[in-house]
Amino acid sequence: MLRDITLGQYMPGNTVVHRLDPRTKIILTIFYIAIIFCVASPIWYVIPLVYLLAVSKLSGLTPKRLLKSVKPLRFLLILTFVLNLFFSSGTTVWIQWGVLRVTREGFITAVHFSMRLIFLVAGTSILTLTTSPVALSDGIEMLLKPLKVIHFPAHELAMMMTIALRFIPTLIEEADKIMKAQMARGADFESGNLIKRAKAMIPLLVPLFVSAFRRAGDLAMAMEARCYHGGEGRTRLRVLKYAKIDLYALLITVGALVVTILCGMWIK
Amino acid sequence: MQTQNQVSPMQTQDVCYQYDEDSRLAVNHVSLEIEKGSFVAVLGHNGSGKSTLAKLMNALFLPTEGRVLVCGLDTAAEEEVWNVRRHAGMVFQNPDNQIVANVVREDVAFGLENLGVPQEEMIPRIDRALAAVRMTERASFAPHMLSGGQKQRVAVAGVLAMQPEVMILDEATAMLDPSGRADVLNTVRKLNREQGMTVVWITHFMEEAATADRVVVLDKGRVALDGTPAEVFSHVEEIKALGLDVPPMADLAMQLNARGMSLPAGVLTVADMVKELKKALCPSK
Amino acid sequence: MPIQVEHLTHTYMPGSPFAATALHDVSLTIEDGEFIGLLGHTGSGKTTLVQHLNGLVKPTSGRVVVDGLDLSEKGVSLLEVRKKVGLVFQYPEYQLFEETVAKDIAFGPKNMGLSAAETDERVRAAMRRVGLDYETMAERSPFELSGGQMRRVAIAGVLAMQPKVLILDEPTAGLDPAGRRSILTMIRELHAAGGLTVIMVSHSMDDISTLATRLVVMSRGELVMTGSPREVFLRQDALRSIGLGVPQAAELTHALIAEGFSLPDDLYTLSEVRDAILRLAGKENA
Repeated sequence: MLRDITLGQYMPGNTVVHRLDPRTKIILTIFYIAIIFCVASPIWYVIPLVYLLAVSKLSGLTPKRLLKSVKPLRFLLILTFVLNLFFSSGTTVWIQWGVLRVTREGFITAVHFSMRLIFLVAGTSILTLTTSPVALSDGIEMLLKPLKVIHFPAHELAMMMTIALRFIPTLIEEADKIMKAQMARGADFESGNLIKRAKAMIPLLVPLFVSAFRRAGDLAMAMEARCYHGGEGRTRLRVLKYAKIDLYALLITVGALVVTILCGMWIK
Repeated sequence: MQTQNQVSPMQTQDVCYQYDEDSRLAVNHVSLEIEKGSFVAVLGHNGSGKSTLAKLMNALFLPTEGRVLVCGLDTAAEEEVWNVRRHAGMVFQNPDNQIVANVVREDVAFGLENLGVPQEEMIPRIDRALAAVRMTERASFAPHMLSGGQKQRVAVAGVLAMQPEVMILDEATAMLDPSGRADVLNTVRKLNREQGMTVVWITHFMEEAATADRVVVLDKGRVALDGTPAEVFSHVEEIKALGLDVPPMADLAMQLNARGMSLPAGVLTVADMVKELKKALCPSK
Repeated sequence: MPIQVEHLTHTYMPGSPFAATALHDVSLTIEDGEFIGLLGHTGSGKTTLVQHLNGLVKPTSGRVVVDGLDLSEKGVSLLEVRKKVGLVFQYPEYQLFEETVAKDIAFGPKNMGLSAAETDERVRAAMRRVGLDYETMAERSPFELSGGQMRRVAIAGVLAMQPKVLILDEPTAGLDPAGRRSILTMIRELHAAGGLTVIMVSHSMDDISTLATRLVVMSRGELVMTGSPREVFLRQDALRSIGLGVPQAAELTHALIAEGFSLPDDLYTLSEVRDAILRLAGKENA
């Protein structure tokens, strides 16, 4: 059933990593990405590896769970590896096979880029695995708040995210119901070629859109009735507060970044 | 000069509302004064103007003629609009389409956040509101995990936390099953009795109106009947002609009287009927 | 074409931590031409049960046989089943999607592979059965109709498949008293015209008591009572214990008996009770 789909991939927990301020986690993720891009040669992936293993230990997420988030990208990964393997320029030829040749440099590049992709996805998934969508939207709102001077709609963006999250289960349930109702009228959502299937979605999508618009109108009125008038003068029930642990996490991560850069300068 | 206490929390003075220039008046010269602390049911079929009236009561619509006063504030005064909406809280029909946040307690906070209430003051107000609707235990639930009746109770809490002077429920039970309906009605009745909350309860279910202090029946945008439930529901034929139901016992009383019995007016419930029949059939008792 | 439900059990998401038994060992036979009132609290399994009857949901165990067709057997054409058993969902107007009323009603017949001529004929017939005028309504957009009219269009969309069994899941939900009465009258007429078995899910005792020939009462996924309205409404205490009421006329009858008046104990319509009271008052000829 459609309604069994869980939202996002948040895994509730109460570990140090879960308790970090969402803003910190977003910033850490950015630093982590910087680390990955500063890794100069495959050997130095040992730094993000140690970092990830430590976070995995602290957050209660097994390395296996982290690798699972790479799985959807396996084809991209293979493609990256193969392309780099065969089409990188290099001088130390290992295998020559017609126009295709594998060089030592090409092999290293292939490993390098594949590792980069794996580490990127596995590491950033920690953010979404340990931060609830609500906290995430709070964090984004607070981080983007300074951009208000250039009229960036940070509050509106966060409110939209909140409402979207709130209504996804409702709309999924509704889609399930409409689908069943159309199936009771003989609709077939499962067979036929692509075009036929796409056409079969119309009896589902039209009512779903009609309903979404109706809900949007109702909700807007309900929000106004409760005095909603944008972000101006608004207070918050959830107030984000940095703690000492946020500082430590930041220092450690920045440290890892510096080490990565230095190592890159030492051994290319 | 009236003191604040004597000002009616909700007054409509000769109010009209027209959706388009050429359409008929959806609300047609309605004058009502809602007494502080009372529970007033507004009864009417679809299209009778009851929902339009509700939206006029907290400045979602502005009257095309006449005035609506919320605690003495004219809803047409632009600078007072947020005050009007804070004083006149509104609960809508569809339980799914009025909950904004992903967590019950955060939804209750929504109105307070909009009013700019400081966080430390917010928390006790939310806790009290949740307790009043018996949702404390589900404070951290996601709304889609709740039943329809529970969602409506959350909506009531969201309004209650804003500490309004009057609560308007616009067909808040129309989409609920009987137990959900009873649940929401009892919750709001309790607020009315125990906290003196003024309630305008808009519905098309006569059995909900039967327990009100006062029943106002709307038809074609006009007030057709206005009085206590006993008075209003004694007009059995008239109410049926307006496309509404009468309590079955009121109907039965009328039929019995038409066939030679003489039961008094105001029989609305089974208990009333038993009492009156005992008097009528065995006068000695 | 009887419907047989044999030891039907349904568990949602079996094996997962969210497993929930929606139906437990339900057995029921429905004969041709019956008008079944299906009663129960929200979550009692009514909706799951009716969704089994046209194959939208599969039994976890047990079976459903419609007109000799075992729905859980492999290779059974679900379209065949849906031709026989029409299911009108709660708030069915939310499934309308076509540009015109006629096109929307034609959706079912088209899915059945009927010719344009036959489809058109069925659309006209279905509109007549639900009391919508073809000439004035067929080309209108369903989205500009009133709530009650939209609901009729949705019901016509199911009737156009000419099912032998019509299931209605709370057909009056959300309507005002006038709308409710007019839909109930329409359903009564559909059934009275013959050839149709009706199963109506309802919360309203007063609605169901005047329509149904037999009541089926569900509670917590189990079938707890079945019988004529007269038989079922006699058991007021049992009904109350599962969160259901009885029509006020039946309630009054019992209250009067408890006060020592002598009335038959199985009255449940207002007119029956009225006549009984008039007899007590010695005014029966008035």
